[in-house]
Amino acid sequence: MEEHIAATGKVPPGNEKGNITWFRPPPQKKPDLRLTPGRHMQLTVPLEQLIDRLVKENKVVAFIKGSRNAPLCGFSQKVIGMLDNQGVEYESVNVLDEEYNSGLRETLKSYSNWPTFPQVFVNGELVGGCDILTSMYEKGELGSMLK
Amino acid sequence: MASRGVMSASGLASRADRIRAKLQSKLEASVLAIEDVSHQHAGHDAMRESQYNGGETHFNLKIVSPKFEGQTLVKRHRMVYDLLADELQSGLHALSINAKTPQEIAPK
Repeated sequence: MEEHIAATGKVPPGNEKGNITWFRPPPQKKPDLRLTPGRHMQLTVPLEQLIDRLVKENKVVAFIKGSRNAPLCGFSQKVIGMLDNQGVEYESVNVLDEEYNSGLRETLKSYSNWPTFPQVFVNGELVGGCDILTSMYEKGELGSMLK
Repeated sequence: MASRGVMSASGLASRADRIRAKLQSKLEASVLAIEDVSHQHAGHDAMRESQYNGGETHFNLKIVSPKFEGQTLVKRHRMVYDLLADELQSGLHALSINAKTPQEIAPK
């Protein structure tokens, strides 16, 4: 250390005060929402009703494959990227989570009358999947719709 | 790629052919480009399920149809999905859809 300071006039990299590389975790995104308390619990309301409330009570909801921190499908990843890029608050739901969202894929497909994922809802209405969001994003319409 | 040539129940050799036939007749498309991009998705987890054996799971569609006139993007996509409901039931996993009207592609 002393030799390095003598030679360069500076503290060796990584040793200066205020270096947070090793102890501050990277900023975590919000957790994904879960629709049910777990597969072992009997639901008292139909899953469809839970979806309905979820999309109506939250302004923007993205149903994606994988979590928002680690999407498992390229289209979901792209949708998350565009939403993050707009800097808006949104909720995400992992449709592959068989423990907490069991049965969601099939129920959501019939609820929204849309056969594929991801699906993005704004104000309770289906806006579309990756293609439609991309098209709105490229036209610069996405931001105003999400506000 | 051995399973590629298997004939389907409906008699047409490939899913792309069936998609073309279904969309062409109902949408009166002036442009209908169908690109099989299944190989780009072959690695992802869901594709290991048995219903996806044989590929033909992912397609890019480019459709220009007068039927899209006055329809929102969601409605246009729904029209396509509705026409291809059978395919989506039988192993078609995802579509990338570019749906335009003849006016929208006309040079200004």
